[in-house]
Amino acid sequence: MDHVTLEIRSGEFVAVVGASGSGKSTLLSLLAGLDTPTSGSIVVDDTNLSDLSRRQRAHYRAHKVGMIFQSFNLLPHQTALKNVELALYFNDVPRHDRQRRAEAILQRLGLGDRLDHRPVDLSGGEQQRVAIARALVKQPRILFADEPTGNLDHDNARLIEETLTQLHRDGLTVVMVTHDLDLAARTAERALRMHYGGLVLNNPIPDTGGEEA
Amino acid sequence: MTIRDGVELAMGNLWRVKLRAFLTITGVTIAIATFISMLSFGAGNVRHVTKLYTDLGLFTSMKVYPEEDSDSVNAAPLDADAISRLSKIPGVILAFPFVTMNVSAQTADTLVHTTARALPPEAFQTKLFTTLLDSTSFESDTAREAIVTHEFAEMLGIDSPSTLLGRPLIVSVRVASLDSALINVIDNGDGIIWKRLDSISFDSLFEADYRSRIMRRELNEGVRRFVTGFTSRTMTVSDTLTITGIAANLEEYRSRLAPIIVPEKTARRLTSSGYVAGSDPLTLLSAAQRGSLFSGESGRDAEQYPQVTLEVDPLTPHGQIKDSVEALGYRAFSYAEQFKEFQRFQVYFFAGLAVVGLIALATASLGIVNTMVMSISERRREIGIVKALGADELEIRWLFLVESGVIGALGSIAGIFSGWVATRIVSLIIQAVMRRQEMPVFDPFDTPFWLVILAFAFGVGVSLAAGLYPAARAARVDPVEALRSE
Repeated sequence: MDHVTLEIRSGEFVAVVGASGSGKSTLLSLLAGLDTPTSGSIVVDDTNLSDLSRRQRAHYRAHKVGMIFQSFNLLPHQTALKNVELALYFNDVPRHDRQRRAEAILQRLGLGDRLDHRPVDLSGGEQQRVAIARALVKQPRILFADEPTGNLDHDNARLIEETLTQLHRDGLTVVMVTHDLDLAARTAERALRMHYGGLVLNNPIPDTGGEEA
Repeated sequence: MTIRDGVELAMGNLWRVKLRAFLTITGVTIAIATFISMLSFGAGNVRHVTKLYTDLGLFTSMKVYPEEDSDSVNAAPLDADAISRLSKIPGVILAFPFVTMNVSAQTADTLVHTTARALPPEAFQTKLFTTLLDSTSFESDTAREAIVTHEFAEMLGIDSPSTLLGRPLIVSVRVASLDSALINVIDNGDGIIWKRLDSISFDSLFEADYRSRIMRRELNEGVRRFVTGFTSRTMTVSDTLTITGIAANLEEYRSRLAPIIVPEKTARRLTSSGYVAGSDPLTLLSAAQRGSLFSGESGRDAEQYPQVTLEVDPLTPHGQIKDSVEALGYRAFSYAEQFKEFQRFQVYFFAGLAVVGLIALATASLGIVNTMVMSISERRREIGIVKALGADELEIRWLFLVESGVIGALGSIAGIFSGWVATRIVSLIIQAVMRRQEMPVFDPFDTPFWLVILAFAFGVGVSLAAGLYPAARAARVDPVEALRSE
């Protein structure tokens, strides 16, 4: 990636589109604090991620960031409930609160009857909803979604789309990487197009009156 | 993340790869079982020796011997005067001699030739003899009583030694006296001395050479007749004692007692008429050298002892007492110092045994490293997920270390138990062999609590050490690459 400058406001839904290898996922990794730029800076809530130690970046991921992936990235040997609970292991949440919060978020996402199911026993849509629950359970400031509907059939994709839209309506900042331009058009307020590591299109940001993220 | 969280995750991860985890834990189990059985053997032997020393009160006992000198005759005699001097050394509570004699003992119709030990009243105050004699003692130092051992009963062919209690015991001692030696100088029974006088030419006595030759010949002959008379003209002195006690049947301590134990003064009555046949001829020579050969009625005043036992104050440094004894011209042997030597030896012994156990543990630790490294390869994506969720490197390291620790803990618990079971089985076999060989029977294994803790700590410690490298490797996994990997 090179010469990418952008600003995302709090509560905004931004879609990052582009061809494979254009740098969409790299941008997401950088914003999520999984990777660090070789030069430049990423500022979130007045904190420059480049200045953080690895431990501080882990703390940032644990407290401010929720991530969902195309391949769900659930732990296959753990139940849905445990998968969600796991996100709170690194979030200083007391043991007795963890299970309660994980159950609550799964029920909110319509998975109250699937708590003890392992990923292999869940449909793709259910797995992605478990992944969303895992991302949301720690009440993040930003949700990063990397091709969240890429592995889902049409119905399940619509369900996830609705979920993300609802979360945005509830005030969550969402940054979604997708190939699906229609999905981007339906859900996002702004689209960023990446091409060979550069940002080639940045739609105007509507004035939401939100604070800077 | 709490310890409980870590342990739960570790248990879950191990459960996923049951066979591999089982084999790795088995490796640790075998290593810890080896470690604990080896050190149990060491601890068992230490316990046995310590018990022996404690039971016999050897930590407060010291032996004194005449100085070993090429010119034995010039060595300081270990006699009644010496005992008196030894008993005055600061820290010495009691001093009593070691007196044994060859005796013939008869009870009922059975006669056996054995040894008897004379014990002074002081000896009964020591823990050693209290233990050996099963707290029995004599009515007085002059009592016509005897305590016998199980060995003596075996000599008589009696299975139940207690049946000997109250029975009369005729003890006979062959005594050589100076009288019999002197008589033999004068008369050897055929009046040959007169014939020898006849052979002397009185005229030639005026010649110095002839006188000198005659005198040397007569002196040589006199000494020969004296020694012959002393050694061959013995008489038997007997006394009838009553068996009043049976010594404890402590096979391992049997060598410390003679089959018959009699009061010291009772023994003196038996031997008061001369030297006990078979006693050390040096005693005679020593008495002659000191000029006390004919000073007593029988020479007993000049009696020397091969050994004197000192009962010492445990609070006084044994080295100090030993120095005082050696300053008097004797050799001292301290059991406490011998025990210190034993302790030094046991450090090497333990170290040797521990090394064997540790080699096994080191081998098992390679299994842990292998398991954990494989686990990292297989769980690369999982590490990426956990890092994306917010786990820092320390927590990833901690997760893998806990997993190694759980392997070590489970292996250690199983190893301690199986090692203990193994030592019990081997102990039973060894004790059966000891019984068959008529050896003192003792449990050669001891698994004290400290050893259990040590084995557990070693098992977990080595497992954690084995997990350090895999944990560091897991912590270094790049989450972006890990999440991309399939």
